Amino acid sequence: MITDIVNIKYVNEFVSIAGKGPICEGIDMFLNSVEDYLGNCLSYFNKKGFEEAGKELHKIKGAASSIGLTRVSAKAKEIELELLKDRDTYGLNSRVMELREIILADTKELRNFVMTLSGM
Amino acid sequence: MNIYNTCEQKLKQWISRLYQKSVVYLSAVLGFFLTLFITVVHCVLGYFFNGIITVFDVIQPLCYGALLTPFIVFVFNQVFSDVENARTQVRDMKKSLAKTYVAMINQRDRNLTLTKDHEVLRGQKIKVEKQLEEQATFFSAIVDLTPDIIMYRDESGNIKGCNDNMLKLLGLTNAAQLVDLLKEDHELDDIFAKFDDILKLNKSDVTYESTINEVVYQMRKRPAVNAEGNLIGIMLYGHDITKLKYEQDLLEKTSRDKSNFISTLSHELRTPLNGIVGLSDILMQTGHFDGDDMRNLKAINVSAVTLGNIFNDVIDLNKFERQTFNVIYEKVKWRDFLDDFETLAHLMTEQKNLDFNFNVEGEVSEYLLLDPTRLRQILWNLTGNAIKFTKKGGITISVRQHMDGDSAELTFSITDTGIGIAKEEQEKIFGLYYQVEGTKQSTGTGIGLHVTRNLCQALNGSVRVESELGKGSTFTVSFTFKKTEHEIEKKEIKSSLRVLLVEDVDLNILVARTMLEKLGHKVFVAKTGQEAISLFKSEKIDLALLDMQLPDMTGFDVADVFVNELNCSVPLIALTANVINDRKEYEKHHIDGVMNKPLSLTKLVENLQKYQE
Repeated sequence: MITDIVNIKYVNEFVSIAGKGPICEGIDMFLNSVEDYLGNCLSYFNKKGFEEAGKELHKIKGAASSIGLTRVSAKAKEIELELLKDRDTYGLNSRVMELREIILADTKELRNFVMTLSGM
Repeated sequence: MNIYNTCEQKLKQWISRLYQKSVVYLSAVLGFFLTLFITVVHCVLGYFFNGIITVFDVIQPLCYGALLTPFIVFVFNQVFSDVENARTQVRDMKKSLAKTYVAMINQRDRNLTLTKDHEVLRGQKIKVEKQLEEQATFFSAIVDLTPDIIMYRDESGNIKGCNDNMLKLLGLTNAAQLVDLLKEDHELDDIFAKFDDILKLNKSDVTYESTINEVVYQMRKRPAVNAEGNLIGIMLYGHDITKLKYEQDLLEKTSRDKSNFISTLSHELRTPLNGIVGLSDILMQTGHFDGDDMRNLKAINVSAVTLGNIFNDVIDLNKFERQTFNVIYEKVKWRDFLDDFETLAHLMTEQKNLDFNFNVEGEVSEYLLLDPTRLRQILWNLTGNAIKFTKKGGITISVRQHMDGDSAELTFSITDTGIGIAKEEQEKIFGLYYQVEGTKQSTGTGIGLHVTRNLCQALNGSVRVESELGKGSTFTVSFTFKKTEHEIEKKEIKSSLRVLLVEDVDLNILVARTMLEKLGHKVFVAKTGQEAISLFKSEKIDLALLDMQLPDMTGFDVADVFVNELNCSVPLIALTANVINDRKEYEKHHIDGVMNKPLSLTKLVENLQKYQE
């Protein structure tokens, strides 16, 4: 269900005022920056910089919610909390892979949804 | 018998004296006869060899005898004296021996008695030792049988023993292994030694909770004190409360879930109710309705408000239970507050055709600092109750107010002519779920007055009741609120604001900037705290939106620099992706508002409009 993935109300509101362009630009920007965030996150984690790794996940959470990706935002928050709780016993790699797959799938869904909306 | 003894003794004395004298006499006789014998022998021998006896033959031996006799007497006397002494000594010795023998016999008898006593005592000791051994066995069995852990140590903390369950818990077989384990495992040692210092100081029990190998124990320690009052050891008893803890957690969670559910439900129901209240207010003010329509509209309005109050009570009750209740003070135009209250109370009394009087005495400042929602809830609860329990007559609300320095002292008295409350019930009515029995009107939730009293306490106020059964009641609530000044400086209304956006995530910048620019504002972006400070210095900014988590500083730090170092007077609005728990934290840093991310267009417009004015 698209409603589980995207904050429909928010995206509609945003598109109605700003048009489709900025949100599509936002999706591209998100996809470009999220690789850096995930890479930094794993790098910090491997150096036992758990707080810093958590901050990278926090950025993903904030950025995802800025373009209405609710599921990605929630998943990033979930991983951030688990990481800060379990620290070096946490299996971050598999969770990052999982998050990356969700990001790819959900951004595609969001882009398709935005295209269905009326506006510039 | 005595005469006999006396005679015997005298006889013995006489014999003894005689014996003493006889020795001398006997020696003398012996000397005489010896002299005579020598004289005769000398005469015979003289006659035999010479054939004649001369005078010299007689005189010569006599002279010898006279010379020898004293010597013989002395020798005999000496010999007899020695013999007598020896005899006396023997006799004395015999007497002494007899005495010694008697003493020995007595001692033997005494020894026999003592031996017998000793045997008895030994028997008793063996019996007591056996009993003690049996008791120790029983206690040991009890100590080992308990599912809890027991350990005892001397006053220096050295382990003196423990029960089987303690060993089992730690995978050990004897107390010596426990000693070794505690030398290595300092964490475990700390658990057992916790609060020892306090216990030694106070010589009283201490209790605490600890988890060992995933088992939760309630540890209880008691000092072992001897008769002189000196500490001789420490007993530790750990009761396994894992299950209890689990059940307690489960119970708390269930209770929390229940309260949360009711609270959430009330929240959810309150939202549409607000719509009903608001819309019915608007409809009443249009002037299109009169007669029955108007009455029905008022009924809708009052019913919705009443229902809203019940939900508020439920939500606050939940907050009290969870100790998350917070009073939110804000500036309130007092006259408007009273007018709203009067209007609603009037509407409520109209529904039951009751008389209504509203009196205000005294003056206070135009603006007061108070929690209007909670004060309204208190007054509505009391007014609602007054109306509910009054069939005929009326309701009188008296407000007495006066200023005392910066403080406004307010007293509300809500008087009804209802059924009244019996004296013995007057304190009980503030209890949770308490309802006066036998009253047909008691159809409420039973939480209204309980919440009211809690709310009054939270607002540092008080509530009291005076009532007479069958005649009516008066509930009086009193509060003291601080006055506050209304900011009358008029701000220039700007259609376009120069907004400083402090945000480090590009995407968030894109979204916020797009929104702000589409709304006609000029946006300056800073991606770090330092950039924000530079921009604030160089540009004329009307409003700043601050992300709370920047790469180099927190949003609070940036706000502190703006206010304290750059004398910032423009509104600061925090942007956060976290749940806003405590607005006071933001107020401390002079942040005027908080907005959740992602930015909602509606909220953004609302906030900007507020500061545009």
